[in-house]
Amino acid sequence: MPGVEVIAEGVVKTYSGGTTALRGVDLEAPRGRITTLLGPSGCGKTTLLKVIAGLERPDRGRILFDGRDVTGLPPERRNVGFVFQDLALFPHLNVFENVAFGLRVRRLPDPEVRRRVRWALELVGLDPGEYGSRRVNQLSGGQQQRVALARALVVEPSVLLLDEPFAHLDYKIKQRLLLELKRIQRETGATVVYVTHDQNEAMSVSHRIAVMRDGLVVQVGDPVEVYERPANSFVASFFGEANILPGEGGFIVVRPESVRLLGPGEDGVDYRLAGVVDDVVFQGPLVYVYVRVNGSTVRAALPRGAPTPSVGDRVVVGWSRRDARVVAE
Amino acid sequence: MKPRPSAVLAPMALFLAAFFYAPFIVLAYQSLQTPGGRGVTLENYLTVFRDPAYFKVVLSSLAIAGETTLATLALALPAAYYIARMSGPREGPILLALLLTPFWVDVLLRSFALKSIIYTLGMREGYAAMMVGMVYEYLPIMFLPIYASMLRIPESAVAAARVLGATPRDVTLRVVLPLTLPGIVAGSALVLLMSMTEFVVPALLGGTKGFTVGSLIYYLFLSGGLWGVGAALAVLLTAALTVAAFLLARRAGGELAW
Amino acid sequence: MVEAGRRLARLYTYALIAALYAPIVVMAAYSFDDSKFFGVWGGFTARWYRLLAHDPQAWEALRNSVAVAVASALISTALALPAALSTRKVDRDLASLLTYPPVIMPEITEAVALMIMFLKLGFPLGVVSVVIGHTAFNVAYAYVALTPAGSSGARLAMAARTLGAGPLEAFLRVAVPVSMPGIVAALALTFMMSFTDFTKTLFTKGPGFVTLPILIWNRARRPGLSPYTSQPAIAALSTVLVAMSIAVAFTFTLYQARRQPGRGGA
Repeated sequence: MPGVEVIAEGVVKTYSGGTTALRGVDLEAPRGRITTLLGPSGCGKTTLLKVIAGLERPDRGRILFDGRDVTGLPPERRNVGFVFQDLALFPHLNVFENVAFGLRVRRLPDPEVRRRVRWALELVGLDPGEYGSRRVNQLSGGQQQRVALARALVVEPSVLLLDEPFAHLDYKIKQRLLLELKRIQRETGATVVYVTHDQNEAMSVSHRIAVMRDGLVVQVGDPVEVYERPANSFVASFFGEANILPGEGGFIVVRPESVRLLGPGEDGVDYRLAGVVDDVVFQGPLVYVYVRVNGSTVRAALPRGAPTPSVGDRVVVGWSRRDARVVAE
Repeated sequence: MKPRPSAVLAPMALFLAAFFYAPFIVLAYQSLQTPGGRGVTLENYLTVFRDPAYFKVVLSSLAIAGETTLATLALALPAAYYIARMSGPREGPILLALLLTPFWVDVLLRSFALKSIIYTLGMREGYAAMMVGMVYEYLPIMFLPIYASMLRIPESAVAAARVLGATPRDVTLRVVLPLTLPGIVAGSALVLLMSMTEFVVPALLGGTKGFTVGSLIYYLFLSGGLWGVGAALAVLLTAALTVAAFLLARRAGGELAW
Repeated sequence: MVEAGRRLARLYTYALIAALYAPIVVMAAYSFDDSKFFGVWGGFTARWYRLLAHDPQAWEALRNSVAVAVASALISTALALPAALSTRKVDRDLASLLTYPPVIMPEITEAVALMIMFLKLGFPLGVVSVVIGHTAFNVAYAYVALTPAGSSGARLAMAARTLGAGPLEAFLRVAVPVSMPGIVAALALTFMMSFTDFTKTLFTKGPGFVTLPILIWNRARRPGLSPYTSQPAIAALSTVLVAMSIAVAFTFTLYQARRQPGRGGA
């Protein structure tokens, strides 16, 4: 079931209380790809997802599925899959009937329903025989997550929309489900729009990332592109870690792993600054060194095992021109 | 070791033990006494079931209670749906308060008030007038658990159903109503059992028609002096209500609490 | 179509609520009716209220009702307050368990049981037995009205203890003021429940003791013999009581409804 291409054009949404959630958003979610909406809470990413699903009606702007305008369609006629942050499993139905819900309201014949529910449960890694008749509140968080995913996938949606689906799970289960989500997306060729505020999640799953802030998309691109060429200091600090230093024409953005600690007489950098070590923090494979330089702090991420200075040492940090990026704001 | 309740509970707990719970034990004891007051007997309970005069009252009372239950259910359901799931954020609490406020006015006053309308409509006391009074009295008791169930249905469950292709009608039939079932069961059980004990409404609006178990208890104690049978009836009602309430409280998980 | 359904449901709900208040409004109208019977309009008059003002039995009943209601409100709130201030789960579970039956048990069985106990014990029926009878259900309502404010009062009292306040000081300077909305609600609610109570009073009053609802019952059951027992006269008496109940009850239920968690944001 190859998905559709989803386009949002100039979407504006103001809530009745007067808060503006979306201030003219343009977004393109390519067919058969995972597009992530990344941003802090309140940036409008969930609202955009609901507008795509038809759960919210935009004040202005259009939503196109493969070029077809669906803006006026109610949610039940858009054929989308939606995984809610709280999952929204139906407590009065068992696992099988939860997954079957979308097929039942489409009045599909029973054998067809059984076949497709079995397919969807197997797709998400749940044994239909073992889990089908369970009550949903008897499942673990990860299993409930899989049921919600199966329920969304079973209708072969044009686009699968996920609203921070793994936010409440343990780190390890989250990592495993992220990998499975990618596998399922590859197998089905679905178009996926994934909402998160977690940059690590965004890096793990996305083909394409749209960074949002205050109801606007501030940058779109593939993860490497956004990481290496952030459009502004907000994107730089929200997507990955960044040193943001005042410089000519705005700010200089340098990733900590591009910052080097220079020994006496060592060269090969375009910029160099002298300072004093404020703190040294061990973080697994990396060691972060915080260096105070003229009132600002520069973080350098060194591989573990590299020679590490101590707090109070005078050091020189530097980086090369191609690793630094100047942004206006 | 299980934690023990604190002493701060004592004033309330002791008072309730002495003046709410202990009387029921005395009542149970009374129901096992012969009219002469010597020895223990099941006579009073047997009378309730054997004597056609009593049994007829139990049956007619069940009929009145059943009709009251069905009527209040039909009337409460749409209003609960509207207030819980369709009303505006300011409108909802006001409608709720308006709907529940009459519940706090004593049944005596409300029955008398109803009389004024019934006379205005050209009706007089009788079965129909009594049924109107019963519905008036028990509507909030049916409404509250249903409303509570509906309020608890998460908005996302409805949104999930819509996204999965359910029309608003499908949502009502396949999501909202099934999830309201515990409230419907709780409300029906409460109205059924409580309306059997009603004696004010039949006395003021029933005329010569309509005699409930409650009316019977009233006459047995305050006019007839047949305490033993009256106590047996009261014990049976209390037992039925207690069993129903605890079953519901366990299954519905707090639909009954307000 | 969805919008049409919503409008229909709204219309229905408004009509239902109107129907709930119609009898009260109509009764209030008849209390100003110059004819002696419901269903006949004989022109406007305030004579039933004048009659009421010069009715010695009504004044006695009023005095009794107020005395019983004040006593029961104070006692039941005082009994429930310590329990409502506990933050421990064991206490709350036990308290809910204990206060649940008095709320749902039909009043007549409760009243009959208490009457038998008093008579068996040889306890004289009268004002004291009525106050005890009212308090037996009021204490449960007081607890329910007190808990929300009470628990935050208790939490803040604990904070006060960590700041150096003694137990009594924490109770008086923090717990009680913070619980004040709950205390006021509990007092108002129990006063009203007691003031308008009929069934419990009927069974526990003994001969000769009269409250306002008992007076209404006595008069409503043998109508028309004297001006006091004519329907508009009883309507006047009832209207006064109903107006008081509704004012208190609406304030209380609105306060409860506003405090309830709303439906989750869309």
